[in-house]
Amino acid sequence: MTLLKISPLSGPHRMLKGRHETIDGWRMVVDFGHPEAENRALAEDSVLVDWSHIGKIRLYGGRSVEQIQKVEPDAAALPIHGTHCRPGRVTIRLVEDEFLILCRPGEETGIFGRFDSEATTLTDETGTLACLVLAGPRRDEVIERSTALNLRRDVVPDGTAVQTTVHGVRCTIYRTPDADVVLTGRDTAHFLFDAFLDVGTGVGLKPAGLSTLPVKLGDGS
Amino acid sequence: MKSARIESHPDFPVPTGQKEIRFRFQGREITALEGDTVAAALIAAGVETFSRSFKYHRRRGLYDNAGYGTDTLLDVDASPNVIADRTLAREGMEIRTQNAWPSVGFDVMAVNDTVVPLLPNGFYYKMFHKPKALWPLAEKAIRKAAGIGRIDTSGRGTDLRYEKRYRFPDVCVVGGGPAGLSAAKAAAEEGKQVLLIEQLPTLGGHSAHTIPEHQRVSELQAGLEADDRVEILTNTSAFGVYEENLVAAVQGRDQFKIRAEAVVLAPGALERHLVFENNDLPGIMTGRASERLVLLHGVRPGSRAVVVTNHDGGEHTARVLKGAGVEVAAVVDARQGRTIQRAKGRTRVTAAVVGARDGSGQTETIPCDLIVIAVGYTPNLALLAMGRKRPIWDPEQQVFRSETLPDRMYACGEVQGPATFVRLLKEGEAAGIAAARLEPAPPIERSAEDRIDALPPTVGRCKGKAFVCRCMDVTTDEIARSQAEGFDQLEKLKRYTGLGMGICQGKVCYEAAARIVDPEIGPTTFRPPAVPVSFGVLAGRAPHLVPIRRTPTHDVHVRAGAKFLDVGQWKRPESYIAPALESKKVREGLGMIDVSTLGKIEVSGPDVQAFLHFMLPGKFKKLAVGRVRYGVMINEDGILFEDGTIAHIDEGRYVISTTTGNQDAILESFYWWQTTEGFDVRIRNLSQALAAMNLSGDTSRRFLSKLVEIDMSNEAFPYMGCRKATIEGVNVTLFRIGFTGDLSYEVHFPAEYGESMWELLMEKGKPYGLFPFGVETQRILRLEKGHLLPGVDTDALSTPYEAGVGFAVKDDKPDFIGRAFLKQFKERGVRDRLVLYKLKPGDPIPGDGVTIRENGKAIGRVTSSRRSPTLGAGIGLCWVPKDLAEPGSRITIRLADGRDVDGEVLEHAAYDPEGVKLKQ
Repeated sequence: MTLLKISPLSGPHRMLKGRHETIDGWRMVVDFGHPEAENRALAEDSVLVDWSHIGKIRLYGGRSVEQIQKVEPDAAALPIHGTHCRPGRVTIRLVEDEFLILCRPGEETGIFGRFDSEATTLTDETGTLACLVLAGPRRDEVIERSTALNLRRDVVPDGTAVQTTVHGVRCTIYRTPDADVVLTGRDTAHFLFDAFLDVGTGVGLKPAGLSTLPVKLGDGS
Repeated sequence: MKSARIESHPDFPVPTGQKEIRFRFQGREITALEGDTVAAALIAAGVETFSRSFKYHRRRGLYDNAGYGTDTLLDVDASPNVIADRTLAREGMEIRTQNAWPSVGFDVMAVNDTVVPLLPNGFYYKMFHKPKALWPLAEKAIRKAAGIGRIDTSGRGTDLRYEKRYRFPDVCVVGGGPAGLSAAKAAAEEGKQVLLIEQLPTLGGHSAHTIPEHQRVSELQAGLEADDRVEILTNTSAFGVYEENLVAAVQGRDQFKIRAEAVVLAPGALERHLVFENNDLPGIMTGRASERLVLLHGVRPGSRAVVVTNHDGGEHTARVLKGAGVEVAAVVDARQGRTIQRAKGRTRVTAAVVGARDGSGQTETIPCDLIVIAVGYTPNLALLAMGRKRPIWDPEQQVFRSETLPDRMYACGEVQGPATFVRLLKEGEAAGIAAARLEPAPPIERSAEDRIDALPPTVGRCKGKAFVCRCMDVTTDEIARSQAEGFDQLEKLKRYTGLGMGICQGKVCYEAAARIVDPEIGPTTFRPPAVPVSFGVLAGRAPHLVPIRRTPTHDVHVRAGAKFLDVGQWKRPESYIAPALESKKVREGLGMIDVSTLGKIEVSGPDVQAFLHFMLPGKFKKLAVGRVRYGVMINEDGILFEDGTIAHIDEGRYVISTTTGNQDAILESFYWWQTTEGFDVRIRNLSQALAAMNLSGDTSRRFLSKLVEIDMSNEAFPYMGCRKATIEGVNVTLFRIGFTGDLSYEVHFPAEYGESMWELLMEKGKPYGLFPFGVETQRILRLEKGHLLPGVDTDALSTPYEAGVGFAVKDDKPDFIGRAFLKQFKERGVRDRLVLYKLKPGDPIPGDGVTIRENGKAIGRVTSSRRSPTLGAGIGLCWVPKDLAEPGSRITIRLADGRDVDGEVLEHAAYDPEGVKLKQ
């Protein structure tokens, strides 16, 4: 018997009658029964998609910069909140000596193994962090109802990240031209999902599955 | 008053060809045109009386057409106090009048108009107090009569959405008149992101209906609308300006919190309020109100008008009215020595009585159905003066002005006093540039041609009803009587009469009131909210104010029918059936509880031993790999604040298990001391990364033996041991510890497997009778075993020695946190002790927190109290003086209902005192 990894959003997804499939060992939602409506919302309004299964590795303290240089040389010179992209992978510099690597589902183990865990505090946060993705042209209207902090697009431009609070929950937001990737603890993911949908009701936000917005990291592929 | 739509105007392109909209007013169908405000549509439909006044229940109609005052408050779709002149008509609206019974046309309470003037001022303060029994009745009647509008308490409004929205512009411009538009344009041209907010549905302010200025403001508006750097929010009223340029605004049911680098206040001015007899009759309106009706909505407000003025604007108003087909019977210009003395009419205006400005000589009665008041402008100072210095009277400009503004806040336009259109544009431009560059505010200039002489605050004989404050129905007579009673300062007068306390918050009447009382002192303080704001808007949406944290297995608990308990922000299963039943099942079989909320902190690195010895009062040098030790944590002040376990997982790698509530504080403390003392350690917070289940009961070993590949025997895996294993290929760590008092194993594994693992264990545990139990059950079990809960059984004065965990303090080692205080505590000796007690079977169970009594005095307290299902009697933990802490001592517990119950202090745990079960 193989145990499945379960998204922290399994509860609300089940309530919304999401259609699940096993993807890279994770039980994930591919759609909510109306993929056409989800695609329309993605094109015209906004959608909220669960990418919690993407790989997430955190390096903190010690010789983290030296370690990141070994694996991702260009990321070592990133400014704080800067990001470095390569196909299927994004490296975010959170603070001076803290990095978060996002990668395609299942690739985290390989990447993790390339670091020296004695040299820095190294954590595989794939199961620790939930990943909610806001996409669609009206996603800013959802965000403006969700946080009292300035996430204006010229303040937090595409290709950068910010650590902030959304609905009172601590998050890291990685911003791309197509989507805002919101990373939060798995304990608060259900709450945040509910809160986004609640404030997003008036601006056309819909939950969507991975068939509407598959994981795209780094290169848009 | 006859009103009608007009098709055209010789001097202005009135709107035509709009789509028709239908709504209902008092059950009558009204046809509006798209873009109409409710007020405009009602006037066009011949509605004269919109409401009844607050106190006298006098008829009130459209007055300023800008939404100041109570005159146009209506109930729209069951929402009371909707401002008709700021609300656009929508299809299907259901509108009703308010503050009148049985109807606004015939209102029984209109008797107040006759009766109340016969009563003394503030009669409700003075009457009905003798005999005493009268007051409750009178109070009830007064409360019923007071107020405007009725809240719908049927619950229909509970689905209304009130949002909070946030904006962070570089420059926020408040007011979309000519100065505001110009400021917004200038700031945008400086490359700044600009937010322009305007309280009315349309931009342009008075210039939008001023010939020929409207052409220029239309161009300005079009330019701004096409500019990506500018966001325009109409129908949006700023109601507060706070520190650090926080502007609060309301748009419908949405509250905007705007934090701007610079704020330009251009709220403009209101038409000056003229106090004369019967100045509140329907059919009396301001010049700008009538212009807006004619030119922006194509509605003729009357058929025969008298225009009362003292500046060129009156001529403009007359021109607008004439162009709409209104017969202008007279333009009464104070500059020529004449002004209005009083208005005549019962249900509406029928004539204007005009005479000499000083009230001397003969008067002339001019029949009319419309009196237009255009006697200058009163700066709308509410936002400028909010919480700052009182505005002062500027005799040169004949207006009150607010001269001091904080840095990065600018004011321009008519709020600084009347000015020509060109000057307003230039002033706005200068303010916009200064705001964009964060430069000092440019100087405000006015010339003689800008000045409009203020008429006296009251004109004519002012007998009967001459209203100073329209909102609160305060007349000149009432002010005079109040002054005679000693309320001779405006602040006192305001509190005594309610003057300026209505929905316009004195914006309409402040100038007249201040000039009547003492212009040198100025108006009363302006405070937020500057415009009416519903409580719903202030509160916002409630469902997601406080985060909720859920464990990785939350959903399976929901499906299992768990009753949840809030533990801080966590949702934890309190129980699944009943705690007492669950307790018995654990004692007799096998239970499983979700303990994922516990803190799990991993510490490793070269200095790990030194770090642990510094952070914790225990010793860990001899803690072998694979072993676990109980430990406590002490604050810098020697107070016990946490207990938990420390497990030596791998060589040099330890996992500290903490309580749910203290994990964040402990982690922060670890980081703090790591940094300040320079320990070379790696601290990993695994609290969220790992789910955790505790399997408890005699069969737990047998059950787990079937699932893991390691030797689970007592010899290979003894009590207080930890082992790594796998379950169905998933890495797990097992801790043999026992909070419940029974043979127990805590299983830690990656959180993403939480649900799957729980379901697997429940399925595999069926042959063993495995069932889930909740936190309340666990609390009973731990109490039977005598385990304390820091923060529940201890407080900010509890030392480890008094709490009975002094054995975990090893003070024969170098410095560690709290050592100095612990030494003093040890020398001082124990004064109180935390002890276990047991009641007799059948005795009532005390509540947590009740007192321990001796000789009528409280000498201690119960911290935890439950009925033990295993023992069939009450048990608990309590603090008592040292001499009562000896085993066998009798204590008296005072129940909440005043009865006393006797307890016996126990030496050991009530359940399995020798710990046989744990170590079996």
